[in-house]
Amino acid sequence: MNNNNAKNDPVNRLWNFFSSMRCGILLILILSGILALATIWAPSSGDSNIYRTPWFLLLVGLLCMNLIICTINRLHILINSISPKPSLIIKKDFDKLPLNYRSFFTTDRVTMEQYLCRLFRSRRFKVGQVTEGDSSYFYFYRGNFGSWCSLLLHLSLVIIVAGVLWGGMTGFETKVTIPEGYTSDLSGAEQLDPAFKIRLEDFDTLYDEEGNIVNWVSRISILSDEGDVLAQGESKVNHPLNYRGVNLYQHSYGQALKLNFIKDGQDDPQSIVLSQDRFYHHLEQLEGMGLWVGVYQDGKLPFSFSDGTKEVAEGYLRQGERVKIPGDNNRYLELSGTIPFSVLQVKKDPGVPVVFTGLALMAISFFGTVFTGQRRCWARIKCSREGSGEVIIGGLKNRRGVQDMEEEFSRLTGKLEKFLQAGGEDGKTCT
Amino acid sequence: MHLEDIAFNIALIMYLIAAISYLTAFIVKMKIARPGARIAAWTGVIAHTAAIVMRTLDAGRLPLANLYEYGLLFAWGVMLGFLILELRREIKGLDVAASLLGLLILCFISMLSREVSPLMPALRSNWLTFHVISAIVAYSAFAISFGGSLLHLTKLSQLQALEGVRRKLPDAELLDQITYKAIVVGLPFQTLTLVTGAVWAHYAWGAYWSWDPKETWSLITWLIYSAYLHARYLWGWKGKPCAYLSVVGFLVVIFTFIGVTYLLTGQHSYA
Repeated sequence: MNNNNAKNDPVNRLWNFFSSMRCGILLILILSGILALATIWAPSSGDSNIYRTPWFLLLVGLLCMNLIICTINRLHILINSISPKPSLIIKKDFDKLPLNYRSFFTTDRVTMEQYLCRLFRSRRFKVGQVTEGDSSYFYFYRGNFGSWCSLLLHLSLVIIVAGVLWGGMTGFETKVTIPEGYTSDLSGAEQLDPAFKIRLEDFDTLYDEEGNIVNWVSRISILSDEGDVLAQGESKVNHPLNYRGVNLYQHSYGQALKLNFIKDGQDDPQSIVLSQDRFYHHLEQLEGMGLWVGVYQDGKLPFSFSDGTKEVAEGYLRQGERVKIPGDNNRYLELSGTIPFSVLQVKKDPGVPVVFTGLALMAISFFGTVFTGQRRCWARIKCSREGSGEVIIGGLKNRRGVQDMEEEFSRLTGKLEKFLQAGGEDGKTCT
Repeated sequence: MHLEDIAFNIALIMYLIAAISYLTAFIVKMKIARPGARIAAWTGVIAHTAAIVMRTLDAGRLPLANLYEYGLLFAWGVMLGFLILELRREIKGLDVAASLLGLLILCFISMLSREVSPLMPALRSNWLTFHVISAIVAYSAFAISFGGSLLHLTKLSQLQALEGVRRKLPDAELLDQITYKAIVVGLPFQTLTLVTGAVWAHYAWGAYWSWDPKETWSLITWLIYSAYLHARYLWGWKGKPCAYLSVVGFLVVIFTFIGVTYLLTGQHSYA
């Protein structure tokens, strides 16, 4: 009665369902549907990123918990398989399994038992045996490696998710746009310890013999806050530069404009680098004026000045030319030329080794799971008072993998049949 | 005409002849139909292989870089996979399905540009080979499972109009086993596709997973077939429910292959 009450308890029933493979399959199918809809209708970046919403993370979390619980539930079976207990060896209703064989023998029991064990061992089965009264029970098993692989496969998924979470909590990512010869300051990034600066020494496009673009390369110096060179290297597509766990990826590139602000009477102009096709209204050199610069093409750069409400001047600048900045001042804007810039993605993700370990484990264990099928058979040898005996063998079909258990079972029982027909080794009656 | 184009056209014609011959052998008892179909199919695969080799020599790399090249290998994988299976056992109906599928893929890619273009910097990586070849093996296996499931559903169908077809098909049990074993072969390779893709993306894009549509739909494919195997293992699922799930899985594969490329934007724009 107490057991029935426990089983009917809602909490127990919920727990049993949640820890079942049935729940896992349901979660997999729900996740598949949501992912399919998300790619079509939901944004995958920015503030509305569906993949970062609490409910999506909850769904993935539920799946992980289901994985862990199902794996733990099955772990005890696997541990039991290392050294099978009598409860595993003596299986109820094994004679009703999908594969079964029954026959009678008149040879002595010990010979029969020895032959049966030898027969299965010759096919690389391991043997567990228990004797109870006039019956001997056997458990033949092979391919536990596949079951362990299945366990590792499920654990690998949890490892991957753990790595993703850890990387998300402790990682760092940003993009920096650096014109050639300039330095970008990352000292504000708290996750970078110690912080450093990046100077783009040179940016280049690499070509093959036929003139096709092979790669883009940023030659980089890593600098300390004081400006000391800590490291140097190259960042290319597929070959990021790594500095103390921080990867610098070649994200994109372009051409920026190099302009000079000149004041009459001053010898050293103020140099500035601006992006093309952009409006600037907070440059201190413009003293409240807005500046739009277009795309530098055919040797000229379109531009316009505005006073905040309307356009006050426009025109084209060629390299080396200067134009007066509107207003009561003696300031000029001069186009010095263009300068290449590189956009580097700076990323630190401590979770990557964990994720990669999980991925490797997943790949290897998947092959191990499906290509090494577990095979299990049970047998009983029973001697009757009349001097004969009965042998019953039951086996499970492979539910996982490609090997054919039915064929092997037929082969084994065929050999046993021949042995019995030949009367056993010495023809003694069953005792 | 380029030699590669000639080999491609020969493969296309041979697959067409094979499909018609297999269909004829299925419908009527004509002695030469099946042997003729086999000869046509194998000739097609040899010509197809020649087309792949010539493209490799022309491009200086394996043909793995765009939709045309991927489709070329996909169709080859389907036909070769089926023919190897047929060496072991004749499976009436699956021969028609496989040859039609191979033919359809070739017809589709024949409408695409065959120009050999240089590899973009992002594709210049050894991971390209491992990633795409894993996907080819997986998709080819799933294609065979799809053929098996369709035939299985036909065999179990109650429609009077299909009575004649049902009688000629192999046992439902055999068709179920073919579907199951094809998925068992395909799913580990689909896993390898995801794994190699993630590692490569880490080095190329700075993120091993970015919910790119192609990545996401590959994951959906993996989830659907995983659900199939779990349902089979847990509930001993066979018959119609399994066959339906297998069909859905392959439709997801086709969407990943073509639908994502044309309907959704992402970083896999070259695939």
